[in-house]
Amino acid sequence: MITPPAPPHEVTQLLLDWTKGNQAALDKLMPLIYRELRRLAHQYLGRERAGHTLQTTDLVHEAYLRLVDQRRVRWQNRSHFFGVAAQLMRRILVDHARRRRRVKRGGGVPMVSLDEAAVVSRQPDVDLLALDEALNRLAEIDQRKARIVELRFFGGLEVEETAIFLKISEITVMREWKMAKAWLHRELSDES
Amino acid sequence: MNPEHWKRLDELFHSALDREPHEREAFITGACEGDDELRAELDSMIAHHEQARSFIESPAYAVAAETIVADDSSETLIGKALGPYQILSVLGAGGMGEVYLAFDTDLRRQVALKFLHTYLTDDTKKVQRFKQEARAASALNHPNILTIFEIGEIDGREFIATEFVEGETLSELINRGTLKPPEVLDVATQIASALSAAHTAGIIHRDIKPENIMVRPDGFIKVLDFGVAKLIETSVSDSDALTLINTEQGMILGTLRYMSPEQARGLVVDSRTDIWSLGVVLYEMVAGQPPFEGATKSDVLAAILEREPLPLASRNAEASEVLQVIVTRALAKDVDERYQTAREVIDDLRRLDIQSDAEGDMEPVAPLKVNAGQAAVKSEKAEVANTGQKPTASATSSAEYIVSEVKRHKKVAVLVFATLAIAVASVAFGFYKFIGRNRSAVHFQKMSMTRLATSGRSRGAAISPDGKYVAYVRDDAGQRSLWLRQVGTTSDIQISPQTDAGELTFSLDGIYLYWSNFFGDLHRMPVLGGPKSLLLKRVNSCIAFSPDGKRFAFFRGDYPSQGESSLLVANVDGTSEQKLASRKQPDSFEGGPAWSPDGKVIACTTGSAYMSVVEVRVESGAQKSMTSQRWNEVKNLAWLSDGSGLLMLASDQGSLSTQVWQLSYPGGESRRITNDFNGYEGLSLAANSRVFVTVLEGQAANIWIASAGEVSRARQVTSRAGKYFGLALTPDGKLVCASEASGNLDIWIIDLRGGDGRQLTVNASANLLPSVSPDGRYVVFTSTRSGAVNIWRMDIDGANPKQLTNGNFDYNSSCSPDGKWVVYVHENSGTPTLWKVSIDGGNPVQLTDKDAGNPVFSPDGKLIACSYGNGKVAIITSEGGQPRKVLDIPTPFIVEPGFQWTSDGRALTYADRRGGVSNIWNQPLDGGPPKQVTDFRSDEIFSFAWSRDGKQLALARGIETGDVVLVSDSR
Repeated sequence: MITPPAPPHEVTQLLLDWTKGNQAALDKLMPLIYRELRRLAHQYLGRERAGHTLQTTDLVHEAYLRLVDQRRVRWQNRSHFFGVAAQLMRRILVDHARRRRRVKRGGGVPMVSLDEAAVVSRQPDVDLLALDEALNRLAEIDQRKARIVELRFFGGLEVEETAIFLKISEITVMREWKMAKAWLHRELSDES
Repeated sequence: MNPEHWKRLDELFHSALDREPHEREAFITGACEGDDELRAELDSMIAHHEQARSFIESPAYAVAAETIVADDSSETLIGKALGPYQILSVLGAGGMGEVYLAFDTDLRRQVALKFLHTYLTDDTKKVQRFKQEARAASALNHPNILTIFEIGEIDGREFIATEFVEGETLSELINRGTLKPPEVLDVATQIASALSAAHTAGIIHRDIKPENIMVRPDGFIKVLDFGVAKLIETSVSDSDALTLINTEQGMILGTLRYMSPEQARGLVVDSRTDIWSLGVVLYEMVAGQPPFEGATKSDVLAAILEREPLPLASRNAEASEVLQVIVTRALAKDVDERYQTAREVIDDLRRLDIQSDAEGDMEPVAPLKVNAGQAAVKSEKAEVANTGQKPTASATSSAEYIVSEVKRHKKVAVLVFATLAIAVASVAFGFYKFIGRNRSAVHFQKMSMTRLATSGRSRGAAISPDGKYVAYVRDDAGQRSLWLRQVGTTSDIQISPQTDAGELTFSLDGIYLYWSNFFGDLHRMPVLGGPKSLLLKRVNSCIAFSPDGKRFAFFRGDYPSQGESSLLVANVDGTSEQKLASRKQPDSFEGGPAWSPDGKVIACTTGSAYMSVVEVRVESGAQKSMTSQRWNEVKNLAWLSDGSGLLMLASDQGSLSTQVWQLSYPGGESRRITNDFNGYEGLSLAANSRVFVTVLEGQAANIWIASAGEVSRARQVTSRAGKYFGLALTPDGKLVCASEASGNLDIWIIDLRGGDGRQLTVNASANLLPSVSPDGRYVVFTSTRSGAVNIWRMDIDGANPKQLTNGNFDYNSSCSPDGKWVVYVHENSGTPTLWKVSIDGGNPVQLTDKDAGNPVFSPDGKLIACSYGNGKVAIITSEGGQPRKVLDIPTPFIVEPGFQWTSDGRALTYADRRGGVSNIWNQPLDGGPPKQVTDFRSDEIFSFAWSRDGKQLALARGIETGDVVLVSDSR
């Protein structure tokens, strides 16, 4: 109380709590991360529609910046946050995809109209649910490759950041990524 | 797949891909000889590798962006039939929920269906209240009030069906800027008419704003959402909903602009709040902009509470004086001086309307009369000249009244401005740990401070080497923008509306700004604006230029792989990286480097739990400690131009916040230059070493008093915002507080029934965190007057000060109810533990051996509540030892103002500071959910205290600030 710093940023504290094993922190974290993801999605589309060259890492960086109180986190801990956040993003995005599938199934056949076309968007190119399941299978065979996919695809991290987080070289990340990508692509294609 | 098989596949996959396509076939055939299964597997992997291309190359959020965004606006209800309603299309989405256009198949008419957000409907009580209000509103039969057809529930979702109005919102109309004066009067009159009907029926709108007003093509206006605002209001106090509502920053800000002062203060409102909002809308229609604006919530709030809007005429030449009078009266900050009823507004508007019709001009010549029976005003202009003092509202025309009112407020405004304009403040300084034989000249022994940027929270300030420019980052609720101020002027230029910068560095020629973001991307941007460019990656510190400006130094962390970090130098364009030195955790390079003026040495901050400063020779990379001193934290090293030492920011065990220090070179003696209660953030020194910029972290708080039964009616008892360090209430209803009002941190006593405060401590040291003994005889407090931080006691009138403890760092005391003991925090080697000492001094007794803080005695004196260990709240006995009970209060967000017991000893109250808005909560000790005690919608609570009988609550509430200050050496 006597050395009042700015109140610790909520997410920073929750992430710290969660990594220390406090499960209750996760419930509080999820809506916060989801909020950032929503913002990311809006910004992404906004920029895409405005015809800007996309720098998706910039967007992700911004999101992390908003989530983590820079003043409280020294460099040693920073890469740790990327990993944790990537895991959370995966959970949220997969939940989101699952929920959508439920809505679609429960809703019967929707009436298609011109109005609707404007509101109901196209489905994502990648089936996130199927990918999530395939990634679980990959983790059973090769944990590290699955982690790389989680960090890069769900967490939006660059090769370099992924390398720092996993304590491996960038070349290794590139190679593993290539193999994981091919394997997942095959898993998700009809022929397998 | 077995591991060997997978490993083999992995190897062959890469080996095959490493080969040119025409060699690949032969390689695979050779490698897989005799293993057809492997061959098939490899072929398919390579085929998929080639097909995969962009597969999962975009991050998942981008892949799912469309569906995430679509989910926000609609849950694909379109085309469905809900009861008799066929959903046709989406009309919009807002803070309340989504609105759809639907067709009522029973009554064959179009309706607007509004579904409430589920987070608003989770609480059945609130839904009941909302329905009650909406039903009352639906009974209102008025042409300017949107007709409510039905309030119901379908598939578990609450909805309201209303008439469907084609047209546009007033907000759209204002933005187009096509409103003519007669239309303005017409629209305002119709709104006032709707309000008048609603108010007569006892319904307050609470959220009048242009977005809630529809204008039909035939000019008819419809006021939407009567009673709905109540739902949002009650939800804002709910911490769960708060998170969600906060996501709609635009909505909160949008709504905020139309809030009355009483609403903004979180007080109980009546129908006059709607009149204020109508005044704001009227102003905006004429001026094209709302009267109270600001970049942040706090700025808008400050404007509403303190500032008078610019005269309408300055924004629209067509605006008449009479219209100004009406607007000003509607916007009277004191509700009693405002129009009392919507009817009065209508009457004035109609008169103005008739006049403009007759004259074809907005300028009235006929008398304008308000409050029937009062003397008419012959000429507005004459009245301006004649009105010298403030007449009472009931005995004057609105014109007279308003004119005088404007004058009065102008004076206040000037006063406020004068207060803000006190640019130069002398700062007390102290000599600490500065032992003789220093070769370093004493810098900044006397200094003056000029506040440059005082609005909102600033950080990361840097001064150009020539001292002419100051760049800084402004943080508005997480949104960072980059600003530039030319020293000596008062205007700020925004260089970039959005930035990821934290600490900034000017290039030596002052042309570029450099910063490394959170991810280690070093960016460069022209000072006067322009695109930023990425210069170098993995730069994990601020950068420091060599004296010739050709190279810069920085740290690179190699965590967690090596557990070390390095000092590197690179050419100014980012090329020719060279590693000078490396250090392992926990003593790795952390913070940032500073390049000495002779170019030979780079000073670096190092460490983690404790930090210090080392020097690295540029030529050899040899390292040496620059000082034996260690601090909790050291940052922002800046060499003095004569090379005799460095300025830096540091916090040590004995200092209460981050202060400015000087470290001599090569002697290594340290001296604290500032010794105050400001927190300093960032330090950037100009080339001549005569001036630096930093950010002063502070508070703008006022004291509020509430009675236990009606905490919603808190009243503000101080009028000048300041920083408070602890409050206590005496048994006879006086307030004891620590404040900087004297220019020094002192303890004051204030009679809440009126009268000025009296200063109880008068010395140059800091006196803070007061508590009052139960008999009202003593004030026990923390003071630095002995040179160390100790617990002291004095009589309630300030006489007979007595030192109670002799530790190095003892603080934060609480008296036992029998008045015999004082419990406090004693800190040793960074670990705070609880101790108690007799109110008459003597040997202290240790109560805990684990981290603990914020102790407070229970009303029966048997227990002590405290923060305990890592983020917990514990109850221990007054004899100490292991906790009796550990409570689940989210301490990271509440420890700052500490806890207070309820008078029955059954619960603890604390301030929950999450989300930037603080409220007091009550946590029963027998478990059970915490209950919210106060219902503030804005501001943070920095301190609070209950009277011993629990009937009164005192609070220090306000906002946190970060001011960019220019500090000049005035020796």
